[in-house]
Amino acid sequence: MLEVSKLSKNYGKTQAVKNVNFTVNAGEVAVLAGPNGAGKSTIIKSIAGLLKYEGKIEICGYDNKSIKGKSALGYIPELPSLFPLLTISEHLTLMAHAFNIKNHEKRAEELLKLFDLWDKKDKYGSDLSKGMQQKASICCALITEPKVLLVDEPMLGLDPKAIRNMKELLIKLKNEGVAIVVSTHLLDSVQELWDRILIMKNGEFVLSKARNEFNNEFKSLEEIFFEFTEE
Amino acid sequence: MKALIYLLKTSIINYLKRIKEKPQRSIGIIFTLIWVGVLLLPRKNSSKNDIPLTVCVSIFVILTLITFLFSLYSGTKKVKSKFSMSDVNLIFVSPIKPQTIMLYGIVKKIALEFFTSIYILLQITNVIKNLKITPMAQILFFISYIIFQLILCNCLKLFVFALCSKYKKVGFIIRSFIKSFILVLAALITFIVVKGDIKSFAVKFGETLTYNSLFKYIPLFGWMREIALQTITGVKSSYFVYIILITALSLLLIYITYSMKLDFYEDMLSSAEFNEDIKNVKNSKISSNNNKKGFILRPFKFKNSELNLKEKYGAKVLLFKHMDEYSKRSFIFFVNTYSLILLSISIVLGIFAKSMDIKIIFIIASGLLLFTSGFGGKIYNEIYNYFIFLLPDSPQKKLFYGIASSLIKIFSDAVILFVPFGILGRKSILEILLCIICYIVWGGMLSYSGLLTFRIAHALGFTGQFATAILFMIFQLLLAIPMVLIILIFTFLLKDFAGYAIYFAFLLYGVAAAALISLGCIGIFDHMELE
Repeated sequence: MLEVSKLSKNYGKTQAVKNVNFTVNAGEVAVLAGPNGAGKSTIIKSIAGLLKYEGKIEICGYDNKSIKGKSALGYIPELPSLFPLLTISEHLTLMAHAFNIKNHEKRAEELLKLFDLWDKKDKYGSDLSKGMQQKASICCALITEPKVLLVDEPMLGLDPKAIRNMKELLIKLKNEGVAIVVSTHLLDSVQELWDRILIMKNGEFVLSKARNEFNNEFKSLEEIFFEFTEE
Repeated sequence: MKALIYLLKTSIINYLKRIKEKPQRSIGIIFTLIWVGVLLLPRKNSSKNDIPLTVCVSIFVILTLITFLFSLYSGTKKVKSKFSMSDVNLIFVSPIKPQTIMLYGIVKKIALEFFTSIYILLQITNVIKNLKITPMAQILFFISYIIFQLILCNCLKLFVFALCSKYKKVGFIIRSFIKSFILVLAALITFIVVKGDIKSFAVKFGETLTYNSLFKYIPLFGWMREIALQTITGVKSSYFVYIILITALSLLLIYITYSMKLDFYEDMLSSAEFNEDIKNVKNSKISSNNNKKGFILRPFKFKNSELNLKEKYGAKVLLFKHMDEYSKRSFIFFVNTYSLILLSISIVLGIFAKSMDIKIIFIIASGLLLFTSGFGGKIYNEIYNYFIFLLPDSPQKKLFYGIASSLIKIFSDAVILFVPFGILGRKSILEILLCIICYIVWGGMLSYSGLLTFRIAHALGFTGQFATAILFMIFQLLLAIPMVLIILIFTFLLKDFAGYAIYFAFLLYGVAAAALISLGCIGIFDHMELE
């Protein structure tokens, strides 16, 4: 579903990402973890088509920057940023139009009710609290019914109910065959979800392993993280 | 495309709806309309010196050339887009052609720059009022200017940017060409000046630019020359041809840029982040000084200076924290770039205008302080942060220590401004001292009044920086009126000391007003909501 091959990215003389390869299949959740400055955001933004890079990124067999590739991608950024002059429901209408989603109203209502935004659907982007913006941002990504979902720190700023809903939603999407990449520092929050762990350090993967490759040894994500990142 | 049209349409409709819901938001528009109205008011034509035709047309053509070269040059650097982070997060990742998004970006840029262009357009009105140009010609000229400045120049910038993205050497070639052109021009002008016949050269050059029949065939410059000439001498049918040609050139540049396969999102990221920060500062979500990129121009990186709070507790830490911040961004102590500018002015005036009364410098400096001291103090950064509100000390002490560093800065600037001039101009020591003291008192009063204005603005619901700034200007001007009256009264009453009346007036009024205003400021630390 998502194929990243020989991805490299330089910022001037600094090589932020060095020749990274990984695949996330349909119905898989890959957790991208690493210390600050490891290159996680660079990978996420490269997949989202926001950066120039070397290498190849394919979404459902299409180049990630092609129209078909973008049609299959959903992106939930770490820092939500909404249009100040659009209401929440207008944001969803905008995304539906942009992704050629017809009859989005029912899906929009479901999502807004799931994240307790239904009664706030006529609030403008500039009037929302950070948490509400984050929820609205999630709804904007999900209204497009993506095949590949990029999530950068999904639980940040959410209340406990929304965190629970988010986890359940990610499991639901996973079961529906969506390939999900989650970048997060809060490893506990994705303990139940993950199928593949990708640990980055200094622009490279120090570990890329599927859950079932751990040979029945029960280790938490946190334990795995420290094992591979501590010197 | 449909999504982007929906976005633009809905944003405009909701903007108007918002103004209806919260009329305070219209203060910016009302102020702009009043300002435009004042500029458009009919004025008495000063017919004593009509500007010669050749001068008008030559200046216009030269300005066209400068604008064109500037657009070329800035296109080789990173284009300053009007994209925001919401565009990045929602639109850039959508399955919309990058070229379509590029068009959307141009439309956004043109729309937002339109209002800043109005000021320039209205200055042109003032100039052409003297030339007895018909209203029709004025309107056509405005349209031509908008098409050239806003549309063509932005299209050109984007086209050059696209070329430079695709072909790395193009940017270097263009920049080198422009620099060489400027050097050659400078050398030529120097040669003519040295030869001694600059005036006759300028006249001949102006006449050639204005009347040479072949010049009109030069693309763009020739067309703009004809537009300027016909605006003054009389509009012919070819006027419209030139407007069409400029529009067509813009469209051609757009079409070529659209056809190029561009990957420009990354190049727009930094300007999108910057625009987001600007938006947050305008909406008072962050203070401009808090931004790590720094909106305030500084000539160098922060100096390494350690914050020393030994034996300092409570609200006193504010003073030493601010002093440390000043010292990190100054050359030495409180002497920063602004101080150096004041020093240069003081020395230049002391050498070339010795006989000027020091009072004039004092009045001008105080007038400037009317607008700069209000929001320039460190206390304005503090009230956007939790720190000062959580500080366990009395509001009076917080206010005192919060403003103290501004007073020290004002003192430092006063010494730099008045002492060199006073020494070079051999002014009396008493008068120099009075200038310094009154300047500090005045600055202190204005610091308090700025804080009070901030509190009043927020209480009235004006939370945006622009609205607060307008209220601040009005309030400061209102404060200045009683000062003027008191100066007049003192000058009349203190006949023998009439020369010092201004200082007594400043001292008396400044201290009394500062004391009164500070009482209104204390409540600002009760809570962050300021309502």
